[in-house]
Amino acid sequence: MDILYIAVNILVFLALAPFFEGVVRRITARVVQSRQGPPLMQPYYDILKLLGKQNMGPGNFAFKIAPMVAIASILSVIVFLPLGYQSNFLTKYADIITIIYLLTLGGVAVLLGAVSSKNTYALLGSSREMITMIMVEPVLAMTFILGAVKVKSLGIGASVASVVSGGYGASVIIMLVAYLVALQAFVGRQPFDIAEAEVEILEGPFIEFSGPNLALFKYYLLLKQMFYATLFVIVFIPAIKTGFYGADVLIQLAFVFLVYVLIAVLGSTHPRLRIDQAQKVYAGLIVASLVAVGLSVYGI
Amino acid sequence: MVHRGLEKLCQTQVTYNEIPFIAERICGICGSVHATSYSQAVELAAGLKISRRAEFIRTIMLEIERVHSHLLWLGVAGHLIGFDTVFMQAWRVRESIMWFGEKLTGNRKTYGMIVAGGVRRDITPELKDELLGVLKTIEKELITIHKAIAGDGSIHRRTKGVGCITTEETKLWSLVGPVARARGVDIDTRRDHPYAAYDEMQFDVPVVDSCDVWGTVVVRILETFEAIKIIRQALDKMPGGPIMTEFSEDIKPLQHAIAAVEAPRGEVVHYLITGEENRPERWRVRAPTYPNLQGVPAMLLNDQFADLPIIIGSIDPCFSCTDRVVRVDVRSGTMTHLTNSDLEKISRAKKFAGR
Repeated sequence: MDILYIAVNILVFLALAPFFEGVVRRITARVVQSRQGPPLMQPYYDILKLLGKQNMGPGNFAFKIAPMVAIASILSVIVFLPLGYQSNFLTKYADIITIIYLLTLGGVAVLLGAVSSKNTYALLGSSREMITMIMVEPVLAMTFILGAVKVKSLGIGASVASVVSGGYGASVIIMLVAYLVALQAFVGRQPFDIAEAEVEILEGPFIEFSGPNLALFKYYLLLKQMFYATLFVIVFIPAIKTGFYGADVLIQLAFVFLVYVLIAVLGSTHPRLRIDQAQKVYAGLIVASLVAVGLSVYGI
Repeated sequence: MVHRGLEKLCQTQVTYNEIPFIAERICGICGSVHATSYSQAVELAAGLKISRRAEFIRTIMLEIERVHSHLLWLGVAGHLIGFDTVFMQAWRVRESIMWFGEKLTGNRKTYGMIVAGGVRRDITPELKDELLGVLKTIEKELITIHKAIAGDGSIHRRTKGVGCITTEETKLWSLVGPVARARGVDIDTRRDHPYAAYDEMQFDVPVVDSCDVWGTVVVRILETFEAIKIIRQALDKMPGGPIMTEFSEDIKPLQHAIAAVEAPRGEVVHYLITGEENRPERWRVRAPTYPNLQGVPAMLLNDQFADLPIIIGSIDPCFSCTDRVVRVDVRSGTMTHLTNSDLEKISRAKKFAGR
């Protein structure tokens, strides 16, 4: 039975990640920008179309495996996620450090692809991506650690569930705000879509990718986005347990939907920052998340 | 406009009153200014005085074009700093003036209104009322956009202190239009060398001395308000009369004429020498991006790569305005001009390079 939960995790994410992206596009278009916007299914069409196209590339090994490493790493992270507050067969074999490592591996795969594509824009994009990764990672780590210090355990289920177990104290509120701001950086949207910055460096790290390789990277980005949104719901929204696994998953997905609405609104009401301006924001976030963990040690 | 062969075409193939339509196609965004400038040069050379009503209609067309061009730029600038909402909203507001342009002239852009001797279509009382309505909605929405932009800290962060060039350097490089006015240089052809009906119009020339990209944003938004003001005055004061003044087609050869018009991007200058066979002997166009682009290297100094798109975008570049190709050998510093056959060779080599 535990094995089935893994399948549910993967299927839910693979099936819904493009849909939520469609929702973001639709909200951006209809609510904020006064236009019709693409159909909700557009991200699926995009990926399907890319899968049918030709792979072009410089022909080195790293370039070929980078998209696969990226999608493999994000799928492994998703496997460990306690969706529907239900730990599965694999959750006990991993801890929060595994999650952070695997998430970083995805980022490293993007860098690998960018560097191996031998393109100036890709290199610029990869350096920006690296800065973002290094400076935003602590916020994610601190979010887990906030829970971990409460239960004195690095286990995934225990640490993510315990963040709001003692109610919304000052530490949780600070962490929640820091996570929400960092969320835009995690998912690469305005004001922190600096690494891809379409008009500046033409999608940066992904510029040389095409066809199925690009489809894999796009899917990777969509899955990553949904992972961070879901993580927010699991960590910061108190568990509403109905007793039925399916209902729990649906309730969580409803909250994930709301997080996506927030992502869309924040993303469409801010211009892109420069990397030096973003660094200052990230530095503030790191300090805020450290303060949150510090406070939580004293039980505030 | 050598690289597209427009000048040569007009000096050898067509007649005086066919050229305005070709001149209009120099630029896809501010076509009327070229048609007006050319027509004024021809009228000057022929010693022709066109009817006052035609001059008023020209003024209105030029200002309609300015409204749409500045809104277009605002949208593009938003897109360049990654703020697509500004892009979409500015273009939504712009759409109503495009629709009006289509109703008035038959085209959303490239109106084909202005010819030597006057204009081709009249503004009827119904169209006048509609234009006033359109202006009212645009003004209302633009005030909202103006407030939103002025109050948005992130936009300030991306545009203030970016693309700086001092007032002295601006004068040195002879920059024109909003780019110069954002650097404290108070020039505007409409006021300094009035043409069409601008001598009767009351309007301000917004000048900002912040010397950066933010200044160009402010100048362009304020200018749009001024343009709306000018159109209202022109509609109000417009006299009756014919819209077209016929002129004899045999203009005396070798008459020189120069006419300047304030385009949304800056000063457009058309120089004309009349010729035989009912066409110019020489017609030379200087579009505003040509001088403005010279200032870009100075603006780019000490700024980051991420600011490059908005700095280049801030001069509202129109690459059909930049018409000379010069090849510079970096090592020796020698400059060579490319001839027609050279360009042909290069383009053919490129075309077949991938095969």
